[in-house]
Amino acid sequence: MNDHTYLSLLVKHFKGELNKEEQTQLKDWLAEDPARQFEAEQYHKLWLASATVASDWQPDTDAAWAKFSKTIQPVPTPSTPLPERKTPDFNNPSSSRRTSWLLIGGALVALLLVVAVILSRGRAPRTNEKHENKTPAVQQIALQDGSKAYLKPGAVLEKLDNDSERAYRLDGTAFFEVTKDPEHPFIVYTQYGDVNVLGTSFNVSVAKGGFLKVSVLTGAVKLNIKDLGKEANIYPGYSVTYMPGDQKLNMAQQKSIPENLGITKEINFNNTPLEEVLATITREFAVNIQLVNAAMNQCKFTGLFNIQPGNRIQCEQMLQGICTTYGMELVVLDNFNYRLKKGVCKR
Amino acid sequence: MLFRLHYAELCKAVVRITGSRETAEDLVQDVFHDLWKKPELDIQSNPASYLRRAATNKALNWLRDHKQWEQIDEPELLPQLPDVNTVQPLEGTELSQKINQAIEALPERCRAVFVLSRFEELSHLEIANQLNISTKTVENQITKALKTLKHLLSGSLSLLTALIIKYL
Repeated sequence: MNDHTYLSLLVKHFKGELNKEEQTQLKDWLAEDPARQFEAEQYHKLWLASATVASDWQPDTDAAWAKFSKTIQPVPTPSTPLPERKTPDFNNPSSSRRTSWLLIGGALVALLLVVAVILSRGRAPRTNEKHENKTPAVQQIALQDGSKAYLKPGAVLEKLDNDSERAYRLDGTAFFEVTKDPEHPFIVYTQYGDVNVLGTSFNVSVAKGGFLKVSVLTGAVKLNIKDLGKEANIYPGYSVTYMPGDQKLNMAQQKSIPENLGITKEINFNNTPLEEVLATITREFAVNIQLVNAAMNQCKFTGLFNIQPGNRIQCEQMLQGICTTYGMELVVLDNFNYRLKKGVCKR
Repeated sequence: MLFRLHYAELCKAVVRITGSRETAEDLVQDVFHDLWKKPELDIQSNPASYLRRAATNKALNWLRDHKQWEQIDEPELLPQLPDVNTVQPLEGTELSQKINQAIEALPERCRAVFVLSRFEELSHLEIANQLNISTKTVENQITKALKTLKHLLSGSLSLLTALIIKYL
């Protein structure tokens, strides 16, 4: 085997594309000479390092945005909420009718909202459904529509009397699991923005300091800040923070939702087909998982996990554990996309 | 929001393929224009992934339209490299920059193939199909890229020991 052939095999090995015959061929060739093993290690280091380098070029986003914005027409703002509207958001100012402050599309949304200093909006008469967590622990509340709220200590959640909406006013921090009911949007009113949800789970956290933060795990949210006259579509894995006084909304990617109130969920796999296991992980963590070796789908997996839904760091750890079990290789493409390569059903 | 959040990142991904910053910026602008013109597109589940895919496709289309690569592998001159003996060990950011510069210095086709393999995680076959070249050519270009990078960075490889190596 000449150098070129060997290097070609080595590259295929790095990419997980070697067949058994080639694998043996390469293994034998490397075993013949320690110097070859050393060189192979050098190539592997280079291979790994080459995928992690970042360009030092910093494109001028402001200038690019100025150029881009000159060439586009403003997106018309709907006068009423459009539950299934899927319009890309480009941070355009728009009218700020309350009904379109936050629009949720999709069946399941997980959202984190951090609000400081929530004031009563006086929007609608209050009902007798009022919950205040005076305990030092997170308190689970069953709401009238079947939704659940997990209130952090000190949080106050009050239902507003509104026939067409499941409307609540929040002061404090809470996590919601909302039942799907497109006819009756689930809305949480805060000082800076309203959260309108159709079948979702989301966090709402309130702290002193004067800011609003919305984070989405699955589905989508439209946030409108009245004071700015700006809207933002927020997608899974992103958060938007608004500091009163600022003239912009700050969007950021997030690896996980830190303010999840420590809510955990137990998942028990008992001789469960891997296909089903991965589907569960996909659902709970809002990620995409590609299983390259289709033969692995029917492998049976057993394991008990205590997870924090949406915590993608934990997701990666789970996938790594599964890969170790079956000798698979985990490729992390980005925060949302994972690829599982190779593997053998065993155990 | 999406524009401001992803523009720079997408430009950096595209420039690795095209080799031209100006072209990269134009192509990424095109991606957002396309998105703007098609509000019916559902990118809610994973906008970052969608944008990255769209930008890579733009870059690949650009390569196909602007580069006439021969099917047969012709010998390409290696980029001008410093004398191996003068390469000093590098650390952290400097090492990263050095690797980056080495990738940018690769011959055009070699760089495009290597980048698609390493950064976009495409298989040999996918790259071959996208660039309308043979898988053998893909293989050759990647090995050529690795040889060149190793030569250029030979003085720095010892610093990469933190990486876990486990063979076969």
